[in-house]
Amino acid sequence: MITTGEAQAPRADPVPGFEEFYATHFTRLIVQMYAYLGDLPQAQDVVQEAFARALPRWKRLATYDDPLAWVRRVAWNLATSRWRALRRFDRFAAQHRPDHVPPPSADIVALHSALRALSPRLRRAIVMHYLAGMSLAEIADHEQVAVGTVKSWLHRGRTALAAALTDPREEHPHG
Amino acid sequence: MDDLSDPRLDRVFSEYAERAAAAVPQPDLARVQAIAARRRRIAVVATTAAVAAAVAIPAVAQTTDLFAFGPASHGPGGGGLGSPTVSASLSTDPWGSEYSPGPVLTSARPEGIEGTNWYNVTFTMPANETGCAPGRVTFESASAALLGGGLYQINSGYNSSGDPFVGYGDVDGDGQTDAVLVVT
Repeated sequence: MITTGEAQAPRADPVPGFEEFYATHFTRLIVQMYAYLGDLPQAQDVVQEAFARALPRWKRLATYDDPLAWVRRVAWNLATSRWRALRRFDRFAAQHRPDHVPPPSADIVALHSALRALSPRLRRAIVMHYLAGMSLAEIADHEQVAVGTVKSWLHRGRTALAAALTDPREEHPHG
Repeated sequence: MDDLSDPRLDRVFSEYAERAAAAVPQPDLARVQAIAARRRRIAVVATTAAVAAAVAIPAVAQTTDLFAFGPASHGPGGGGLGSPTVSASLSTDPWGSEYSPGPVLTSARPEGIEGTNWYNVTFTMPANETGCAPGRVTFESASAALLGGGLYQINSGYNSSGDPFVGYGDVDGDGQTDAVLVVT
């Protein structure tokens, strides 16, 4: 499970390849966490943290076939933990946190609302599939469940999202 | 995946990704480096504290031979960095109970270590955030360093929290905890 080797202390200096790796995947990962968490600063924190943990291990991670999988897993696990905490304090924070950022667009809010109505598992599967482009097998491996389970999650999530995102004008164009 | 394709959702998420990406700040590598540097400082401080604890243990527990390692099979060897490609079989507490991190100092006097088989090191290990739960873990390779005073540092690649884990471990495979291990 673990393949490692370095005996020296972690380095703060970027090692070859990390900067490009970081720049390539930073925004995309944040978008995924943003969709899951519904909070851009939180998403940014989670992704930065994941990359910060990857940096001192980059020599090892760079040897992996898919180093992004490691970073993504850390980010997702952090996001899941963060989301649980957010859910507990969401109401309090919403009342006390000043809003210093421009509000997201209506479309983003609509999708966040629809995603928030899903259970965390369904939401993760939906985001991984539609935003991260992960295959059923990759999601199953990440979530440690059978592929059929992921398929079921995606089906249920898609159905719920379709209903939540339906524009009433589309259903009753003349009404 | 084909039967899960949904052009409408594909479009919704495609538009979402585009608009959300526009709101994402520019990558900030300096911030990542700062976080990593802070973690390194914390690790150094924690390791230093662990060394201090390890040095204090023998004085308290009359451990002149508590960490009496055998001469032939010390993994780290010579007290410096060594055994860069150790493959250790690591065992952790069984599932179920909540993990309690940190060393539990005891005056109990374990058996002296006659020999260290770095392919059969066991010690308590917490779950980490990459999804590895506590349980029996096998390291395909790891590196170890003897920090002194019977304190070993294991660079496992498993502990990705940035904070070193300190605990007792069994380094000679006799089922008895016999050394202080700092797992990074």
